[in-house]
Amino acid sequence: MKLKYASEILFATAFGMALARVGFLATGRHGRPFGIPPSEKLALLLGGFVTGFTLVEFIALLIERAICRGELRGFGIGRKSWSIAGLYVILNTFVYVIYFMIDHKINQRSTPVTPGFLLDRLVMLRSRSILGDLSWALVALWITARLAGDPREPTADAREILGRVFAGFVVGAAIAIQAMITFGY
Amino acid sequence: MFFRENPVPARELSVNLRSPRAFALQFAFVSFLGAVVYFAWPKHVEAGRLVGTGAAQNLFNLFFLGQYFLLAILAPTFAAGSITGEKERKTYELLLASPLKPSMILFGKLFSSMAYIIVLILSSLPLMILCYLLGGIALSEIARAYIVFFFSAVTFGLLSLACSSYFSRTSSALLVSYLVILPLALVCVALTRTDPAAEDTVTRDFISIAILPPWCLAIWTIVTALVTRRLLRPPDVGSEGKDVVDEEEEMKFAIGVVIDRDLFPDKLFAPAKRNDLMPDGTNPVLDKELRSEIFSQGTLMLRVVIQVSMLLSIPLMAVFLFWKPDQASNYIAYIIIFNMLVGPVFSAGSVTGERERKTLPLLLTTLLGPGRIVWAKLIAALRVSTVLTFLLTEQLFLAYIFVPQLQAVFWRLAVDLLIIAVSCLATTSIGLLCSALARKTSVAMITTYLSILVLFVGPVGAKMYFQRTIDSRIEEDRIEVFSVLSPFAAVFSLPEANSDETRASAGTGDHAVKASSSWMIVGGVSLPLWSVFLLFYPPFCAVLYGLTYLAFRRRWWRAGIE
Repeated sequence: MKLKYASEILFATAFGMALARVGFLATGRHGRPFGIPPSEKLALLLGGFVTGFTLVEFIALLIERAICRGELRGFGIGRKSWSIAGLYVILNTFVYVIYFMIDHKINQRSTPVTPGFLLDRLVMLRSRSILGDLSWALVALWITARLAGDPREPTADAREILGRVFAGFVVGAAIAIQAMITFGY
Repeated sequence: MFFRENPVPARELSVNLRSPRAFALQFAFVSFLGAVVYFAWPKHVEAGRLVGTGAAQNLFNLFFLGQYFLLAILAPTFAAGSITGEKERKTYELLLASPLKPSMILFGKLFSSMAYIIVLILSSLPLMILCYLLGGIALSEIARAYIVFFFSAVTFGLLSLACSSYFSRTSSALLVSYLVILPLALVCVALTRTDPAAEDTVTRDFISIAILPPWCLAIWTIVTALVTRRLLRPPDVGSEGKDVVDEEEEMKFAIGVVIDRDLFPDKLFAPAKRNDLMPDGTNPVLDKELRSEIFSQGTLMLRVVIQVSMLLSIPLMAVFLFWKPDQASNYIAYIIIFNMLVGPVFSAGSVTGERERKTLPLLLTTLLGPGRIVWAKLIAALRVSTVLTFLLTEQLFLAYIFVPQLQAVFWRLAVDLLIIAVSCLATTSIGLLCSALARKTSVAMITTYLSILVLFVGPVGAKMYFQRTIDSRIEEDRIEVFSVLSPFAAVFSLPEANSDETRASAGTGDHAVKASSSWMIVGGVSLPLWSVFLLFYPPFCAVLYGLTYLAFRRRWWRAGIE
């Protein structure tokens, strides 16, 4: 792993933690008490963290693709995981922003879309779906790759390996939260 | 067999215990602990009278902390140089060629370095008994403390020996040993110390007696296996530990972070080796230091340092920047501690390294004046130390952007970064001065660490100590003056953000902050402590640089080479 990539991971971790904090505190600000069930607290924290981490890594992937256009071969499962997760977060955000803007303009119902408001609501409301829907999308990606007979890359670099680890983490977190909900936590 | 037929401990013990360093260290150790007990001793206690449990426990706790802290610092100074010393003296191959088994060599080295540490621990026993005489402390509690000391000391010694077997320079082994040992020591102290406020002594005793020993035994087993395997099949034999390491070959087998000198940010502290002519006006010593010298022994030490520091920074930033932003100063303190460990490595060996490699005569025969040589050494070491330290600061920017409490004190970010930069300058300057004064790198390193410890930690430690002691004999205000020397005091004197709970309960909003508490009167003007620190250190470092120049000129330039 190159030092540049190690610093990038550290930055992504910090960004993830920052969003986890934003999401967790937003729950209190928007009328939801701190006495929420542990499963929901965990979902908020992990959802915020995954959102932040994914965004940084997806942007880094785009930059890498732009800089090394001729040198990069096709994406492995790791890079595809970053791409799917990043696009999921960004498209989800985009749809949400459009909805709020239209709702505010036409129906005069919702509050104006400020960056702070957007950050709060996004991390708060999307945590569950990021850990739920996204995790199954990543599982589907892995199964599809196996069905399609994609070759395993013997010389996977750090970004590729971390992408796979990240996908495993998201799926594991989703299962853990689902288990907590099932057992009443 | 391990004792009677083993020549290693016999030789090492006679060398270690007869050295002036052993006497000086034991004297300093007992004096320090004696001072801790003396100043914390409750006033008006007559002979034969007992004091309350609180006072005795307080004294005992301070004593335990002081001794544990000294053990963590002293254990690597003996053990980390035991195998690298053989490599540096070129006796490593002779040792390995002897009929001694690797386990006997390891045991001999460990026993000889630990014997001295155990002598230190035992020499503190009379002072511990003094605490016992105050009453309120059970003998079993003293026994528990000594069990913790023993297991910790041997673990620290073994870990330092492992570092010594993996590195070829004592300075690298010493740095990595500290980097591994200090977090372990903090965890161990937190779990096993005697807190007068805590009523749950059963858990603490259980951890000390039932959890700590098995964990230590497991660490001993793993480390012993690793070191004996390395001594049995040593990969660094043949080079006498001084040949330049082929970086490309090293990178093939590197685990974790690798250094690529052509990429950013690697080239900031390790620019690629030059394969063209130097441009006119370039300082050749600076060019040589940065491009070839500092990492000529490979990048293993550097990679370990970077990885450990980054891994440690993750939980620390989670807690101090994003969970409890009102304690953000603790994260800055971590960065300064990292610099305290790393900074001296690159400067304390600058001059002594040349002497040990016998390249100082060559350097002195060039047309370069002593001023240019010393300046180049300073800049090279400062650059590496500063870049490595600032790699840990990117999280700070995110925290100050996303955490509302920290947004309210955004200007603090600039001051934090300035304090870190000034600390980098101070550690490098002190290291360079010690390097110009000492003859051996290991001596220069230990002297640098001790000087930095006294300057940076001493004032804060003394203040905390006198705040905690009952009936202190020295007024706190006198100690406060020395706080200007410590970057920790400067960081903790900055205004803190309010905690989430305070904001929620008082409704103070995002912009309310806890005001700075420490002010100093300089020339009739009242200034915050952090600003006095920032004003004091740059001229102080200039003085240190002047002294380094004079020392280098007088000791090496004029006197010639012995």
